[in-house]
Amino acid sequence: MNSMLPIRSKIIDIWDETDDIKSFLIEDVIGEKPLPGQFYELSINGLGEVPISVASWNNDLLFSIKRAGKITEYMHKMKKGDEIGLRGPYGKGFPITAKFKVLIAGGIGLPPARSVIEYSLSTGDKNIQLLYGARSPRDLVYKSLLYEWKKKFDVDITVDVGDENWKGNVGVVTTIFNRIRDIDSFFYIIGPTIMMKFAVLELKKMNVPDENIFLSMERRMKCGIGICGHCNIGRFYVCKDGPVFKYSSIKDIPEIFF
Amino acid sequence: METRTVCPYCGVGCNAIVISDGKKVLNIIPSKREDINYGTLCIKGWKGFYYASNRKRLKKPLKNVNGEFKEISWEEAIDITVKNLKNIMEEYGPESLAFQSSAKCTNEDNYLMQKLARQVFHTNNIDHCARSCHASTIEGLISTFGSGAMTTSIKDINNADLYFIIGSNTTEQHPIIGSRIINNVRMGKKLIVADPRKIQITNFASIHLRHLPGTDLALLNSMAYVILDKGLYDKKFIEERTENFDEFKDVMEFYDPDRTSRITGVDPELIEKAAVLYASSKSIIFYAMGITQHTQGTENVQAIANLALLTGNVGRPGTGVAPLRGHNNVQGSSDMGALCDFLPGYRRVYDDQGRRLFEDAWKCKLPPVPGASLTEMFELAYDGKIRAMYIMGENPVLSEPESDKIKKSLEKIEFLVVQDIFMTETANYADIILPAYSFAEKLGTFTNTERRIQLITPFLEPIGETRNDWEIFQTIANKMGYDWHYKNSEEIMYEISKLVPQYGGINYECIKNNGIQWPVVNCNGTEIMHREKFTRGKGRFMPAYWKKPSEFSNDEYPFILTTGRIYYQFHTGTMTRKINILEREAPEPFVEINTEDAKSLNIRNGGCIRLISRYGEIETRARLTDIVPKGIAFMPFHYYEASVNKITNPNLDPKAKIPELKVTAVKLVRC
Amino acid sequence: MMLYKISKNNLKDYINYLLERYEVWGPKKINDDYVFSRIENGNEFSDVRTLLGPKDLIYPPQEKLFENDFHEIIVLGVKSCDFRAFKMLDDVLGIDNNYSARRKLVHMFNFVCTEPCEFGFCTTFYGPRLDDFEMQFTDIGEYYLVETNTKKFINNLFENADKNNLDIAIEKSENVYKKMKKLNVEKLNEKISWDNPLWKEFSERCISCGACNFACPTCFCFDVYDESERYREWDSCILAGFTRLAGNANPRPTLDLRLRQRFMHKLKFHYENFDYHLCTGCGRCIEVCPVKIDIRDVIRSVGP
Repeated sequence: MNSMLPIRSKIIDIWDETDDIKSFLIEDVIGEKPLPGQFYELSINGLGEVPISVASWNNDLLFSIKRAGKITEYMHKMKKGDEIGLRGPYGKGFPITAKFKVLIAGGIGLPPARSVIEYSLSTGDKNIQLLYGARSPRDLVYKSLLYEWKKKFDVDITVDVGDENWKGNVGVVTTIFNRIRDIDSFFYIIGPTIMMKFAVLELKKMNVPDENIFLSMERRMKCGIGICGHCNIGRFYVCKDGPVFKYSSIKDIPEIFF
Repeated sequence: METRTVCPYCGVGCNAIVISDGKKVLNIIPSKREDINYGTLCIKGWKGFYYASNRKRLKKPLKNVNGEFKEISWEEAIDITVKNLKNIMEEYGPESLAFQSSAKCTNEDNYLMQKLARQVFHTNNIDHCARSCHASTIEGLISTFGSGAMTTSIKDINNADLYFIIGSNTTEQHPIIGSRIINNVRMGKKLIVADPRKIQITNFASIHLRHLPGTDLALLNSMAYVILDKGLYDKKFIEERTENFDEFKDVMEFYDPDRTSRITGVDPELIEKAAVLYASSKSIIFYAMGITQHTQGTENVQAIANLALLTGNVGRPGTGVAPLRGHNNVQGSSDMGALCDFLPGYRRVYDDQGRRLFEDAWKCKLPPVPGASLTEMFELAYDGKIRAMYIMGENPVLSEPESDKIKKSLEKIEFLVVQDIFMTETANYADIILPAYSFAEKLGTFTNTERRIQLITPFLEPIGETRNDWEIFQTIANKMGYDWHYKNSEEIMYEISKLVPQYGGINYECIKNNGIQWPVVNCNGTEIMHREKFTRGKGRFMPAYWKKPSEFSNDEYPFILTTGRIYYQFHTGTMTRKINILEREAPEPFVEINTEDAKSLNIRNGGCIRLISRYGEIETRARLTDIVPKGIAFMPFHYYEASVNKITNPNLDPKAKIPELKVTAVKLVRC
Repeated sequence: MMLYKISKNNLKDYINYLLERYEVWGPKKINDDYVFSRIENGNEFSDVRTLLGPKDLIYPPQEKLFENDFHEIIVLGVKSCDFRAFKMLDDVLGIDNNYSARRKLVHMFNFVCTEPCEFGFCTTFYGPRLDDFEMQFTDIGEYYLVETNTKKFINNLFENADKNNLDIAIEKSENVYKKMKKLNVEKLNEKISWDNPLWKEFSERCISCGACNFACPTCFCFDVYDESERYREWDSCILAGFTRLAGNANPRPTLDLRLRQRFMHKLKFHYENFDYHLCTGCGRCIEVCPVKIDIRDVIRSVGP
C-alpha cells in the first residue's frame, strides 16, 4: 500500500538526443504497460524524484529528459547500469481513439507525443498528424524517427530560429497550423505552457470545439498519487486526473496557463 | 516531552513549545503569551528548529591536517588550542590574540568568552557581530539616553498612536513585531515608513518617505527642523528632562526640508506631514540596519533619539525608541560585554571604577585600552599584528565586508580555532574545530530586543561529542591555570547578576516563567525605561551635521548597492539553508534592480548580472522589480555562491566602528 | 450505544489506569500554554481546547517516509473539530501507508466543548458533538458523561448513566450553538469567486508564515525531500516554492493567487470532489495568523 516507495531498477542505456536532452532506457521492473501520456516518478536516492512522461514502451521504458534542475542535472551524468528508482505508471493519458489525431508538440513535448504515435501505429491506426516545433534545428529530438514517421503520416516541423542548412518552416508551431489536415480531429497539445496557450487560442480561432482539445498539463509534483497537493488546479490533481485534460474540463480555471 | 523555548533566529524572541523525544523535534507550537508573539510564529519559527538534529552537525573535534579535517579527541584539541594561544600570547603579547563571540549563544556563553579573553588571555580583543549591526545604537543611545537598548516593550506597541519605521524591513526581519504594528494600524493607528525600497509594510503607511541611502541624517534633521519651526516640541519635557537643547536648535536650522530635499530626494511636503504627525502623537520609532550601518551610523541613531527627546516621545507608555536587534541574543551578548570597548554592563574598559569592579571580582588586572573591533581584527590580522583567532558561532567570511581580505587574513594567521555547530565558510580556514551545543541542547538565557532575559531549557540530547560552549571555555581556562569551577550555567548567571547591574539579582527561578526585562532590581523588571530620569540623568541632545556617505554614485560607479536580508534565510544561512522548505523558497542569490534600470542595461529578469565595486566583483542573477527605486540595487548577503560582502563598503563609523554596508557604489553590467 | 459517567475526581485515576496499559497523550499545561504532549500521570491532563490540535500524532510535521515506527496510543481531550478533520484526511491520505497505519493505532477520546472558543465557528459545519466516536466525554457538572460503543476502555471507575444524563450533556453542548454565530455556507462552493477582492487585500498583510496551513487540522499538503533518506514535511500552499517549477516558472507567482488557492481549495475544489468543505470551523487558522486573516470574512464575502 505504500504508494510512494520506488522500485529498484537500472538504466539499460543512455544516449544524447540534443545538447540538453538525453534518452534513458530503463528496465521495466513494474511490468504494467503504460498508456500514452502517462508518466513515472524516477527516483534518485538521496536527491529526489522527477515525474517524466513515457516516450516509448517496448518491454523497457524509454524516457527523454531535458536537463532543467538539480535532479535532471544529476541524471545527465549517470551511466549505463546505474541504479534508478521507478514508480508508476501514473495519471490519465491521451484518449485512445480511431478518430483523426493532430499531435501538436513543442520542444520536450515530443517524447510523450511519441508514445501516442507508437501506440497508434502498433494497432494499425495511422490517423495521425504531427506538428512539431523546436527552438532550433539542433534542438529537434528523434530526428531519424521523424524521417521514418514522415513515410507513414503527415509530419510538419518548424523551428523558432533556423540555421544555414535549414530549409523548413521558421516560426512558432502555430505558424504551421495551416497544414492541419482535418479540422474535425482530436488535438493533443504537449509542450511549454506558453506554447499550449497560443496553440489553444489559434485552434479556437479555427472553431475547434473545446471537447476536441486535449492538453498535457505540467505542474510541480511530489507524490504522483494525488495526496501532496502540489499539482492541484481547480478540483483536479494533474498527477491523478491528468496530466492529460480535455480543454472543456479546465478552461474556466484562470491558472491553467501562466 | 514538552519544553518551552525561545526561537533562535531574530531578536523578537518568540516563545514556542517544542514537543520532542529527546532525539528529534516532533512538533512546534507557538506560545499564546500576549506580550510577545500571541500564539504566532514566522516561518522560521515553524520550520526552522529542525537544523539542530541535521546530520551535518559537527560531532567531534577536528584538526586541519594538510587541508583535510581529521577527527581528534577533545584532549588533543584542547591541548593544541591552549598550547598555541599560550605560546602566541607569550611570544607576541596578548594583543596578538583575537576572540569573536556569538550573538546566537547564551548570555552565559558570552560572559565566559569575554572573561576568557580578558582574565585568562589579558586582552580586550573580544568582539562580535553586534559591531556590524547595532554598534552605532550602543554609542548613539548611550550618549543621548545613557543606555543603548529599546526603551519600551513589545506589548507597549499597542499603546502608541503612531509608528515611525526607518531603515527596517520589519515584516521580513522581525515579522511578529511587524505584524503587531500592522494589526494596530488596521485598528486606526498611523504609520510612517522611511525606506528607499517599497517594502511590504509600506502597504500600511500613510506616509512613505523614499530617501536615498545614506541620507538618513538629513531626513531626520529636517523633521526636527519642521517640529522646531512649527513649535510642536514638548517644552516642558525639554526643560525638565534634557540638556543641550540650544546647540541642537542651532544645528537643525540648516535642515529646512526644501533644502534637504535636494539631498534626500524626498518631497518637502511629505517631510512636513511626517514630522507633524510624529510630533503630535504618542510615537515609537523603530529602526534597524538602514540607520546603523553607515559611517554616520552613530549620528543617525542620535538624530532618532533627538526626535524622541524633542517631542517627549520617550519614557512614557506608547512612546519610545526601538532599535530592532537582529539576533536572538545580540542584546545579551552586548550586555555581557563581548565587545572590545565595553565590560559587561556597558562599563567602558577605560572607566577605572568600572574596571576595578571586575578586577576585584576576577582577581586580576584588566587592560584599560579598548581592543580591536571585529572589523579591525581582520585588518590587524592581515598586517600580521594579530596572529591567533578564536571564533565562536560567527561566520565573518560571509557576514563582514571585504571578504577576500578576511579570507587572506585567516590564511595568514598562525592559529585559528572555530567553535561552531556546523562547518561554515569560516570554519574551512580553521586549524582546530570544536563541536558545540546548539540552542536545543542548552540551558541558559537569551535577551531579546525588548531587554527581556528569557530562559531556554534543552529539548534535545547532546549529540556525538559536542560540548556546551561555556564548558569548553572553562576547560581552556583550567588548562591555563585559572580555577573556574562553574557547575552549571546558573552559577554563571549568579556571577553575572552580581556584576552586571542591569541583570541585578536575577536567577533562573524568577525568569523561568515569563522572562524579565532589564534593568532588574530584586527580580522586578522594567517595561519602560527612562520614566523618571534617563539612565544618564538628563537626556542629551546630540545634533550632528549630515556628511556624504563614504561612497556615493558617480560616473564610474553609477549605482548604489545596499545590502540586507530576506525573510526565508537568516544571515549566512548556516541554519536556514539546511531546512528544506526555507531553502526551497529562497535557494539562490539575486540582486534586485529597478525594471527601468534593467532595460537600459539590457538585463532581463533572471539574467546574469555582474556587480563591480571598488573592492571586487561578483556575478549573480538579476531580479527585476519596482521595489527598489531607480539607481539603487539591493542584494541579500545569505549566499556563499555570490557573497555580496566581497564587494561591500568597508569604511567605518569612527565611533562605533560599524561598516557602511548600506551604501556601496557599484557598476552594473550584463554578463 | 452505552452511556456511562465518571466523576471528575475519578478521571485522574482512570487516566492512571490507562497509563498502565497504553501510551497516553493529551492537553498538558506548560507555563500558561496548553499543548498536546505525552502524559505520564493523571494529574497532567487538562480538559481544554489547545492552540494546535493533535494532527501531528497521526500525521507528523516531519517524518521519514519509509520507516515503520508506529505504536498504539490513546489521545485524550480531542475536540470534535479535530476528530472530524481526521475523517476528512482519511479521504485523501487513506491510501498513504504511514497515515493509515497510525490512524489504526491511535485511539481518540473526544471531549465535547460546552463553551465556544474565541475564534471557532464549528457550528457552521458540524458543531461540538460527534455522532461517530470511540469514547465521547461531556462535562455535565460533577461528572463526565461518557458515550461509547465499546466496553474496551471501561473499568470500574465508571458508573452507568441514563438518558437524563445524556440530555444534560446535549444541553451543555447546545450552549455552543447559542453563543456561536453560524455562518451561511449554502452554495458557498458555487458563489466563491476567482476574483474576490479579499485575495489582494489579504496579500497586503500576509507575512507568509504558513501557520494557517500548519495549524489547520484538515490541511494535508506535504513536501518530499531527500537527506540521505526520503522525508516528508508539512507544506504550505501559500509559499511560492509550492508550485515553482524547475526553470523558475510559477503558476502562482504572487501571494494573492496563493491565498486564493488556499481558500478556494478548502471551500470549493475539495467540495466539488467530496461534497464537503475542507474545514471544520475550528478557527485555528485565524488564531495563529499574525495578522488575523480570517476565513470567516471569505465565507461572508460571497454574499447571500
